[in-house]
Amino acid sequence: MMLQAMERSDRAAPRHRILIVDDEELIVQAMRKYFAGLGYDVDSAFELEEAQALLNNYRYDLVIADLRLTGVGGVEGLQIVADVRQRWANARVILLSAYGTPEIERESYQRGADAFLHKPKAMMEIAHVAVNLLENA
Amino acid sequence: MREHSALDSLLAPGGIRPLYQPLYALTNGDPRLFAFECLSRGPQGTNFEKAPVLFEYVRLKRQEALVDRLCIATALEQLPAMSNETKVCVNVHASTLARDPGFIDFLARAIQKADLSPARVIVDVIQHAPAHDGDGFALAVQRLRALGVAIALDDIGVGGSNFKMLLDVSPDYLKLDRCIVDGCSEDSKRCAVIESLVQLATRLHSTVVAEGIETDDDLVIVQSLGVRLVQGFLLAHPLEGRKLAEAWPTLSPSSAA
Repeated sequence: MMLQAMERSDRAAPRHRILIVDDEELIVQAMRKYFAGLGYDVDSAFELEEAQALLNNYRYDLVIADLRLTGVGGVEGLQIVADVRQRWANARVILLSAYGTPEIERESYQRGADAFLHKPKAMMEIAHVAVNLLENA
Repeated sequence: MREHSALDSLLAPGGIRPLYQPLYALTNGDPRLFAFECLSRGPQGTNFEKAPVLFEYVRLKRQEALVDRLCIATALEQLPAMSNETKVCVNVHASTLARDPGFIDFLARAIQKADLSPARVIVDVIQHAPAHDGDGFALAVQRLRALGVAIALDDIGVGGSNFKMLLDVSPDYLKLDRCIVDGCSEDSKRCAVIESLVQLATRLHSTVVAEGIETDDDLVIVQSLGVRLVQGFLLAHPLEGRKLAEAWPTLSPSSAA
């Protein structure tokens, strides 16, 4: 089903633009490669301010952001959700977290996240959610 | 987690790459080299290769003063030899002028080290956000005047630019943002804005610079509206210092673009 969705996505929506935000370099590299391979234009950022600078200058169809970008206790991903919502009403946002509590997850949705995924998640699962969100945007 | 922030990589040696873009004077029809604007880019292959992202990031990090100093120092250090008639523009945030009390002394030293006369230097004030500290900003403007450099106001028509800044700074140059200039040959409203700003500049003893000239038609129109200084990809792209030196024969003050 996911492959079918991706194939449809390749045909119908050729160049969606995705922003990936994570402080783990290997995760960013892997996600960039994966989504670029699916035919998307992919940018990435490692810090909140780098992501905000990109969001202030470019329009993205989907943002995939880690909740925590600065080590222990950070919830910068929530700020990214708010920033995306403020700028681009139709953009989709997926938050990823290895530390997500039910309260954080609830707040993420309240701020406008479209999905909250608990790490670790296989790339295929993230892509499945991403493609469905983009197709239904 | 990454060991170094993007800011660390910008501040490291080679983190800021200077580029130089010519400004031309429109006298007797043909464009004549007037100045080089020192521009800055971050490391290649990063998001900071693009100037709007680089400086937005720097502002969000509230590191304008540090990065402004680094950009100016790097640009003036790598400035190729050029005619004494050619001016050199350096950019500084209004917030740096307001909040960095040592900036003017730093600038004076950098100009001296580059063997430039202050009269050849134009300090281009970027107005992305209000300076906030009005007294600090006013003092800095006063000290720039005492140093002998000229002052340009950047981003006229967008962002934090406003008439109060014109009154506070009494700039020598008004740099019209490309969003006002680009496409003026097909837009009477843009023409009206440009014409009115040229008239205002004349009343204020200032000179308008039109940025973002990308077509012959726009060049002809701004000239007809009274603009005498222009900059844009039609005339020249920003160049690295080495390439600037190679291109020097075509960029010399006596040659047309």
